[in-house]
Amino acid sequence: MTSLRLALVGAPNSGKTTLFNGLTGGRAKVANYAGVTVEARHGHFKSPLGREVELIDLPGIYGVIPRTMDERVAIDTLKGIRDDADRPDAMVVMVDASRLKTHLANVLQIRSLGLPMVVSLNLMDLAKRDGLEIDLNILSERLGVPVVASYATRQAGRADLLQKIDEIVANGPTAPSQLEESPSLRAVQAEARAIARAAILHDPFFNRATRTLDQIFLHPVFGLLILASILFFMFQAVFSWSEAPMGWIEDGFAALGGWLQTTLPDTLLRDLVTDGVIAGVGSVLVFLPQIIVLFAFILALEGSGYMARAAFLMDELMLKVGLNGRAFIPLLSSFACAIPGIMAARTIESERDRITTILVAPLMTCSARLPVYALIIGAFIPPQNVGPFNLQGLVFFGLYLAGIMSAVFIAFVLKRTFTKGETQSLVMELPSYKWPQPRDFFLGLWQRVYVFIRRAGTMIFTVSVALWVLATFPLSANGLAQTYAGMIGRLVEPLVRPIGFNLEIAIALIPGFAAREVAVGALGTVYAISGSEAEVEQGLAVTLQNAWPLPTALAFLAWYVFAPQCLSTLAVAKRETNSWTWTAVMLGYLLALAYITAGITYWVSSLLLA
Amino acid sequence: MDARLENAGGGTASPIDKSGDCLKESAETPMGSLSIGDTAIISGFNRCSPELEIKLRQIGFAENDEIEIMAVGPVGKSPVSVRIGATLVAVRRGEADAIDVRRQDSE
Repeated sequence: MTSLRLALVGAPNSGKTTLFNGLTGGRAKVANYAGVTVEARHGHFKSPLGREVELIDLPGIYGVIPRTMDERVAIDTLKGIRDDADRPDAMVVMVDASRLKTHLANVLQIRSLGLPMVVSLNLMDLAKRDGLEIDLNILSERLGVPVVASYATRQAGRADLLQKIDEIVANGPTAPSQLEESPSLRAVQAEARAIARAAILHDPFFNRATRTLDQIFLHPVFGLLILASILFFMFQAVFSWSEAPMGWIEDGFAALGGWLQTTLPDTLLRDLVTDGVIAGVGSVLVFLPQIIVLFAFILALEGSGYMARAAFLMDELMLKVGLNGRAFIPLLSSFACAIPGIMAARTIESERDRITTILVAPLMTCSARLPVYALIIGAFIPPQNVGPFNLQGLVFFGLYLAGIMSAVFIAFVLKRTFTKGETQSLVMELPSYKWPQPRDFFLGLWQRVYVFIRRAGTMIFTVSVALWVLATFPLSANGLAQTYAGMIGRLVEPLVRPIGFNLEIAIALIPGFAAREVAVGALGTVYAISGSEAEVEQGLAVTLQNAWPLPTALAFLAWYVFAPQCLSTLAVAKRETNSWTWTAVMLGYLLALAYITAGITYWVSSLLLA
Repeated sequence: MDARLENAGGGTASPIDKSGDCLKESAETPMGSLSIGDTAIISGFNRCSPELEIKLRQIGFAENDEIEIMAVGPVGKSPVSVRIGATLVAVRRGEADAIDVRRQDSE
């Protein structure tokens, strides 16, 4: 018996992801990234009667007329007209109970797609607390489909849903019926309102907490101040909260390296392990705490409903620079990683706004640049206090700000040159405030952390070993410059010499194209080989302090504000824009900005320090 | 009129008719002219942009719904946060003008 393909359908923020995680244990097939659900996730579970069910978490939709790329994916999948996805056998249509009145018209539209369905009225506990009374029998009768209640946090209600799913299974997946001939949108709305009037017995006034919170968070003055404070606090926290655990990881790797150094026989293999693997992988893994803190903030802002408020506050300002309030979420996600940011841009309706957003997304300082910033700031910027703030945190904030300001500038230029055109509409639902679900939060956090660790274990491991080989052989080499890595580096060095970079940086920049944080691992490996034992034991930061003049360090930071693309970002940009030209434009302008800014930083700081 | 307004399901798009009664003086109040705290009843959609009307209907605006202006953006009083029942929707001020409303007398 083949498994039943069951699609999770509903408006954004109706609780699909929570149900998906609850039923499947969070084991999803498609890698998903921070930000909104832009890919359909697949998971499996067994129904109470033992039927194998494949659950598909589709992007949120309003009705069946797609407005954005991801809505089109969802609707076309349900219609069964996509080549890359089989039509689901049945649907669970999720509706937030408190928003039933407005969203019922969407349920009617989704019903017209002609698939067997169960309506799950979600968050009934919260709606009941607010005084909402819904007669499920009337609703089910009038809709002509089963309706079950489900709850935010508890398992209760899930059993009802599973039972209904089993009933669908028992009847066998019915042959998909023809699409109903749909009446006009206006008539659908009228019918929905009539059903709502019959089924909703008591409709309370609007949720007081959300009203009060919006008076604060959307206040023209305080709202903006709060947004700025949240962002500032977030970046301070990334540095200060992770300080202690980073120290432990660093000490751990140093101890491990030292222990291996004394226990293993003095062979090339020992050097490979200590100088290649431990120096390379260790210098990247040490940034895990910062990445956890950053993703925790983004997930909490997303899960609480605040992210849409941030977009609301920023919309008019972003319009002025040629972006769109909806670009705020993709761009904020890009602080974690540009890849989910670029993919989240699918929620932007206007093609031109979407391209502009994709092009500037890499300017948002992604978490892969954290290791680079953290290393250089830790080594060269004194940890003293300036007023109540930590100077290192301030420089860190400044680098983020530099990225944002240049994104504003680039978007402004693009809007007046390449991506001219009319601005599209906003029309965006503001979800009610809620505490992020611990389960969704920790599952989401774990998925991100896992991706980072896996990269450290695979790509960064491979690059570290490859680089160690290139920087060690031929064994007859006298100094780094004569090794294979040195030969390659010497080819690049003349190009970067004018902006203050030395041979070691030139060597590290090449693998740094694979992923930005690899540059740190590469520096770790290069200096572990070329430096003395004593220096290596003190760590990479101390080594750099002795090896680099301050202007070089600052130029390196400036370079990484623009850091020409990691390859994966370029690949995703190519896929999402479906254009080599836009991809080339992106690579070109980032390279140019990185080179020019690093050069200016180097020469100006050299003059000032002279 | 746009065919998709008539056929919400699998209808095909027809060219947008721009010669509608878009510019006709209307006795109705555009929603964009309301201020924070105002409540009103939606009386209809003006026909300037069928595309926009579809979007507004899809997200939940419908005739005879009561709406309330909850918040406005910090710059140029845009966007506007509008409550329809228990649903909050943000629209730009210009987009809000596509919806005609009848003001309710404040008590």
